[in-house]
Amino acid sequence: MAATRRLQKELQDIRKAGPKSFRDIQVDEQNILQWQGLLVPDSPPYAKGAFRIDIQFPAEYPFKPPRIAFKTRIYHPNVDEKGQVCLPIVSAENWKPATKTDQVIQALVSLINQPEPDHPLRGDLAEEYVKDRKKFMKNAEDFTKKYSEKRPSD
Amino acid sequence: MEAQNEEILVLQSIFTDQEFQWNDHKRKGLFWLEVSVPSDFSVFLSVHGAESLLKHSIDYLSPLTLEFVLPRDYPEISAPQFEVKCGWMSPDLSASVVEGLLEIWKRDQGPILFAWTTFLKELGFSHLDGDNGMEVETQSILTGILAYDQDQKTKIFRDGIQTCQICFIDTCGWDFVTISGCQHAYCSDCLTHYCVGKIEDGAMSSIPCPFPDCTHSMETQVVKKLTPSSLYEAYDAKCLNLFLRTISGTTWCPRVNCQYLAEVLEDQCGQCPDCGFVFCLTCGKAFHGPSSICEKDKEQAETVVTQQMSEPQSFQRILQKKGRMEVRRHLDRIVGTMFGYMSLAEQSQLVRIYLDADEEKKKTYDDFFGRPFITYFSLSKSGNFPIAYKGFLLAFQGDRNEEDLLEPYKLISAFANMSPCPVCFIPIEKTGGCHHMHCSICGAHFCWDCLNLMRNCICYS
Repeated sequence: MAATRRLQKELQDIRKAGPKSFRDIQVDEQNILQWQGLLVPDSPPYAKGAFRIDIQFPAEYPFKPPRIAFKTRIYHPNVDEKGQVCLPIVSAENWKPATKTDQVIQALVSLINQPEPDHPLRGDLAEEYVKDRKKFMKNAEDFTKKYSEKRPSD
Repeated sequence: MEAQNEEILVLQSIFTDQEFQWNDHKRKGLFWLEVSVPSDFSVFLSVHGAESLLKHSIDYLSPLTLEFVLPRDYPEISAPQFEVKCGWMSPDLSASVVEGLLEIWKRDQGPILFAWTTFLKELGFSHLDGDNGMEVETQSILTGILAYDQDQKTKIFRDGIQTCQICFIDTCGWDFVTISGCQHAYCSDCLTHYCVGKIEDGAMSSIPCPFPDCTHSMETQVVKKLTPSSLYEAYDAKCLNLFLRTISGTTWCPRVNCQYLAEVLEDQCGQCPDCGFVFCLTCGKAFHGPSSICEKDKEQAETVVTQQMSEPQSFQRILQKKGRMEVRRHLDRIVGTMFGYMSLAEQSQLVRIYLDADEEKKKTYDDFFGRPFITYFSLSKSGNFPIAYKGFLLAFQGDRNEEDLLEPYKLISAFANMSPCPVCFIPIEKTGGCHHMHCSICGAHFCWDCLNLMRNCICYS
């Protein structure tokens, strides 16, 4: 199966590169289509926490894009309460099969570090982000402290 | 003669058969001298002595050839007769090369061939080592250089083992297909799978290169070669259809079993080039002469429909008599007058408020607008007219058939996440993601919340 072979290679490459912003990658031995990992952003207000994400690859991968969902709650204009995130690079419309998973993760990390209030999934947070940045930072930091996972020590 | 044979023997041991050929009978030889091109080297066209701004980066240049004939009295008395050929050399350079070779002969007066090859290779290097690359004089020389460079690159790519950036499998370069615009290459299996998938997903325009951020598209003939012909034809027809939609002065043949692209003639008249049907643009029936007759017809029908709509039985009769299309047109006109003063955004907002309202509030809207009309209006916003029409009929007969009436509202909720594209009005369903929508038919980028084009949207700025 094309998906399995490619994902094995991608997983191997990502583990070898060991990106700082994406750690603790767990893949079910039985099902390589399902990944989990810890997103470690480095910009405030998220720099004090880590966020678990799910990456679900379809059987038709890489011809169909992976789906990304947050497992950890996050106070972010571009992530909704269900953990869904709108990332253009993995939309069905824009997906390019030669896009590698590490590029997808990079795009996700930069979206988390740098919210895009122009394209929100949560309009209320986008408004707060634009109109009262101080309040947003405070709320997001409190939220991160309360709900996020512990950052890896190294 | 002996000295000549000895020299040739030495040359044959230095050069390979590809680099040096010798015809003993005719005493004639030929050298191909490879010129290795410095990295980041480019060629450009000189325009009236000035440098052209357009530089072409190249990796390979065609070899120089040195053809020579040895006279009987070489190397004692006469120099070899020779000719240097090269596709990219300017006449000035050619002349100085010839001069240089003759000077070496004058200096050495002996077995000269090896010294000549060295001179030519060095000359090649010294000429190519300039900072800016190489200036060429005519477009045809430039074309030749670029074609040779491309051929060499293709040859080297094809002979090697390459990794496909889609399946990550190493395959012989022969199995790859290159997209000519961007030179990105993928194994033909992957590219086939990709094209078939794109077409099955309803692609209506050119298929983009699978490389991230690459804006080039695959050439249609490549897509045609890779996909089954029946699939390709369907795709090709869709592309054509979409393209033709953008041309003004065209319409569709109203005959149900034809629906070919038809031409708009003068006087409200259209003609289908396929079945030959000549029709009235307003009513879609066979053309009935000047437009005034149809206008009259229309006005009459409109008054009748509006008047008789209060009675379900007579409405049904109109329906039977006039046909669905006709009634729909009238409904559109009535609803258009009722809601037409609102902007598209306001209309969508009204529909959304109406759909979200509880029973009591809904009744206020029903009383205000008339239930059948607001039902028709809401449902037609989804772009699905048969359902809107059914909703209208059911709401119209609402008092007597409470059971049936639930149906259009179920349909409404099913279409709550649908909206027509504000530019081409094709119905679009939103399955997830943010409000930034991209219509795959007309390419418009619009906001789902206000239905304005993205650049005019002020929802979140």
